[in-house]
Amino acid sequence: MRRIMTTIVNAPARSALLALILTFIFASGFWNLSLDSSAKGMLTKGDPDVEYLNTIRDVFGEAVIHSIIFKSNTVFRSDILETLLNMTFEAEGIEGVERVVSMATVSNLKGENGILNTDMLLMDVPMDESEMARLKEDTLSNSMFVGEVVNPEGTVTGLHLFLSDPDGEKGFENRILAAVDRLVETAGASLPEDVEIYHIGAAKVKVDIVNAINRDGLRLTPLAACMVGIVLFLFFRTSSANLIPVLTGLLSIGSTLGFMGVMGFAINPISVMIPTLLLVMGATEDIHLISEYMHGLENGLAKKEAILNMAVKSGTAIFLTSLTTLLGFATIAPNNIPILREFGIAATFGIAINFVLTVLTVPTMLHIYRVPKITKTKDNIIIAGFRRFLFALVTRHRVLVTICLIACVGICIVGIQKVYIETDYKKFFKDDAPVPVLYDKLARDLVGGTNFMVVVETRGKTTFQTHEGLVVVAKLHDYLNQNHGKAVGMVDLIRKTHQEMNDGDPNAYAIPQNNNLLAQYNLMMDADSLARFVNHDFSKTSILVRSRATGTKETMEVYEDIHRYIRENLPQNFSYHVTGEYIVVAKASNEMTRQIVTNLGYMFAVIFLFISLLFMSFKAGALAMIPNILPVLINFGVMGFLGIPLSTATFPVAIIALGIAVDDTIHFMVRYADELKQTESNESAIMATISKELRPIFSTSTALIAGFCVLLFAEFGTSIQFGKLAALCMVSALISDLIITPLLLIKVPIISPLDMLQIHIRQKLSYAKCKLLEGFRPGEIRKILTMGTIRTLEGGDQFIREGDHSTSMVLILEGEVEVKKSGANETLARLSSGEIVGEMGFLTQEPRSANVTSLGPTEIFEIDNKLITLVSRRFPRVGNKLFMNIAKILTHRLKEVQN
Amino acid sequence: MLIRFICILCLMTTGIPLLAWAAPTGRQIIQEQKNRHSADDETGVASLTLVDRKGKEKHQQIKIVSMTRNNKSKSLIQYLAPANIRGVGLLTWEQGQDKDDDQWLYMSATRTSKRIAGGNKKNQFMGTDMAFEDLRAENLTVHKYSLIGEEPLDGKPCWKIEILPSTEKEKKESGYGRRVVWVEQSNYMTLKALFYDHHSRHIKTALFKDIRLMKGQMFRSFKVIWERIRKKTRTIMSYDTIDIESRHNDTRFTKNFMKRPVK
Repeated sequence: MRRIMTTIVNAPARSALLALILTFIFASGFWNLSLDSSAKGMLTKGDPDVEYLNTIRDVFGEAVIHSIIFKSNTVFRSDILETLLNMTFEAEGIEGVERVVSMATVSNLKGENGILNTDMLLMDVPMDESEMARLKEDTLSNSMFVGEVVNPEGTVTGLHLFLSDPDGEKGFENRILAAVDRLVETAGASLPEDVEIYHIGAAKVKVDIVNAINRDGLRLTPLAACMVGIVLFLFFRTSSANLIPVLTGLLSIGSTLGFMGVMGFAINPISVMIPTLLLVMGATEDIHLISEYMHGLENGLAKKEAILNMAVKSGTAIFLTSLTTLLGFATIAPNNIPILREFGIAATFGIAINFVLTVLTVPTMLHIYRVPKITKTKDNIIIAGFRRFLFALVTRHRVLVTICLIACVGICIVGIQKVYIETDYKKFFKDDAPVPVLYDKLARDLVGGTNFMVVVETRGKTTFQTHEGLVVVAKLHDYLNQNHGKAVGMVDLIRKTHQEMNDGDPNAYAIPQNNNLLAQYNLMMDADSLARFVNHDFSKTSILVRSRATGTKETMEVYEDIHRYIRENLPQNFSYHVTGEYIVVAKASNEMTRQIVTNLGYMFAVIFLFISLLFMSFKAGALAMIPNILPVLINFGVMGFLGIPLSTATFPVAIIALGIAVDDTIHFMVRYADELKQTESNESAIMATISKELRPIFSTSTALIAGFCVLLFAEFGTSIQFGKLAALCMVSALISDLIITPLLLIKVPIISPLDMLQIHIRQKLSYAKCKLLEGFRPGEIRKILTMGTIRTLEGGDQFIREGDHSTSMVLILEGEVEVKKSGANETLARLSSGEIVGEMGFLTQEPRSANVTSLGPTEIFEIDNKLITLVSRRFPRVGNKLFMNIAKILTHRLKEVQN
Repeated sequence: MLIRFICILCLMTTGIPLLAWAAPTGRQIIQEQKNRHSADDETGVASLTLVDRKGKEKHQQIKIVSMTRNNKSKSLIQYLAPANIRGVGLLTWEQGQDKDDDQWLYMSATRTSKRIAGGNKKNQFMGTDMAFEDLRAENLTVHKYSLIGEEPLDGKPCWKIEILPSTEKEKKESGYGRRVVWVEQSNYMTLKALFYDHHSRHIKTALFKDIRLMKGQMFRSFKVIWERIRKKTRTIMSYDTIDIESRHNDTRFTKNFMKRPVK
């Protein structure tokens, strides 16, 4: 990584060009990007419930309904009925409207005094008061009509448009909504003001979602950019600190959106957050780089040197942090729920491209920017005060902090029990948005807005043209009607027909026993009306339920209750299904829960392994998880207490929280590892780490919080919830990383200076190739490490001088050195990583026989003579092996000389 | 001058037949149609195919018997198949002029009949795409007929006639505010009819196919396709047999007769 960063810094123009080319290539897919507000993305591919729903749609049509409502002191008025008739006819002509149910399309079979009236309920506007009164009486006395096309008081009537879009027409909902808007506008113009008209349904939900996504995307991304820029300027007081992150953010967003277009991913209520995410999270890497650059300038480095220093020191760190965030999102990618899978893939790509564009762009931009005015390093009051506070907490109030931590975990666990899942898109809006307001209104005025079907089927044809079959359906129908909203089905038609064929006798409102009579009643019915409820061979029947249940929780409760009733009360030789888009999407919530648990599990595992590998210690990995799990717990705890549901929008917060917390942890621990090499105690190392990491961690977290707070201005309720949770998670991650992590590291030293030394050396050379350390066990190597220290050399440093008294032997960790005699040009030897030099002086105690000079940046491990002697006495085996290896090296050299 | 007078006289004498040979009026065409194709007694057995909006089909078989005496018709439609609806019958007595027909519906399952309220002719017949009024003979006393043009259909020259209800009662009770028919000029058979509601919206189309000569100048269409535009449903009526020779009497057109097993 160091080499890559150095190359980039030394070729800024080419780096910038590469960044632009990459952006151009990926962003070219932007024009293929589309918007998708449907709930189809929630449905798992291959899900049997989805497959079944599709077959039922083919048979009975869609239960996707858009309702137009008229409300007045009475709807039995000529003007309203005239409008209703016209509107019904016009609505039937709209392409995509499969059928219309209104007073004008339902049959009013009526038997009185031996005469049967077979008229439709409303064929023409009644000519006089008596006809109007009769119409009103016929309508309100028919239980089939009340609660579907008219309310019990006769003050509300509705047209219900059943929509069907089998070909997935682009802009279908927009077209339907525009047509309905025109109908309503025309009607409104012809009706007096005392008649209220409104419409609501699936088309409006989807169109409003798309519009909200559009508006949020256009407003929030620039707003997030401004917020991040302002915060960064406050911390760094240089315009480069806000412009550079914004630039890299915008390039990343463009590339990612283009990638999504190429992949065929649509912008939906979840992926609309990706631009803000990238801007905010991408800025953190820029901040760390700029912070390191400023640090270099403050330490007196020239601009180019400061840039190079920044690239070398921070390059690996930001690679690691980007990698952990990327891995976090990548765990979402293998998801069965398409909308989450696409989010995971797009976000993973976004983080990856952001990293690439950041490393290519930031050094270049810093080259272009003039050097900011550097004043004496002085943290602002807030940071200085916070540092003192942290010191006090970590050193003097450990018990209090531990108690608070345990209490916090306990409270969160209580909150977690209250978390519930929400997949109903209607609930994604703010409470005062038109969609939820109108759905509430519809439910109060006439009928619930959540539709589903209960399908009963059997293998035998004509079953639902027999008494035996219909009695079972009637029982279920009545239960649904009494407990779960308005149920409409063929038993209504049959019972009503039988009643009217018996002159309106209420006792005849029943399923006749005579199967031939049932067939003959079916003959009399309007074929289109019948087709809503029974298939052509009478082997399947559907009951449409218009429920007032809202949200996933209530919908699932209804679902569970219906199945319970079926199990306990109905014969099991029939097959029963509760289906419909709302049901299938609600059931997807179970799958989502499973995915969340799995994703978090994967992420914890990945991070644990990652940190363990980084610090060569499972103990380090395990303990480092504690401060990272805390923000996740707080996230779910807060959701439980505030009633924020777990949805496809809020689900990624936990992943992001973990990713960000781990970022800070890695920055902290890498710095801590660095400090450990230079101090003698954990406590000192931690204090030094806090001092140095406070500003970048604090500023990145503040920028993130500010950026996520932008989402509070979103139109979409879920974006607001996401913003709240994400901001809170950043606060908890900040506290966790700055208080819990240091506290843990002080209390339970997971890494000792020796550990760090061992890790460092291990990183530099392979023990297998290092002849000096050949054959030693790790524990024995630790003992050898107590014998020396690491030194870093620049090119041309002469670290062994001919004639000097020998005090150490040197193991070369990195770089190359040459051995020369004083005054001679000839190089006696060139030695590199894993080789030793100065061993002759060590063995013979004689003055150095040659000069040894580093040829470039070099790192060496100096093994002190006296310490070797001391350790060897204490650990003879180690000493013997060490001397044996030195002897082997010398023998090998001798042979080379002889050859 | 004399020559001029003779010329004018010739023109006048030839002009009168020319004028007489001008296109007939709409009413004349329909009257001629009724004259040519009405039979006093008729028996037909037809297959009904009901096609729903999804293209699924239901098949039924009916027998239609009609009798006209003194310009008043009686008809009996009975279902022959499938078995569970065999015997269901619809008996109609036309009362002529502008009066409501008497209709009774017979349910063979309960062996009971129910009188159907008058003025229901606009309703669909037994779940088909045909209204009750579609099954009745044209009543010239309550309609206005206008010849609106000539237009070929399937290569056959046709008159195009607009039919409007002419009485308030008909306007109220009929489901159609307007009809347009194509009448083939060679045989006075209707080949196509468009039906409009009272807001001039096209709601139904009927196509008359498989035209066959019965006897003399009398033809019959052996296949009629009814289609309701907005509902997207169709009913295809295909006659297996049409008999215009058998003689019927009043006993066949009674409620009691409907109780007898159908033959």
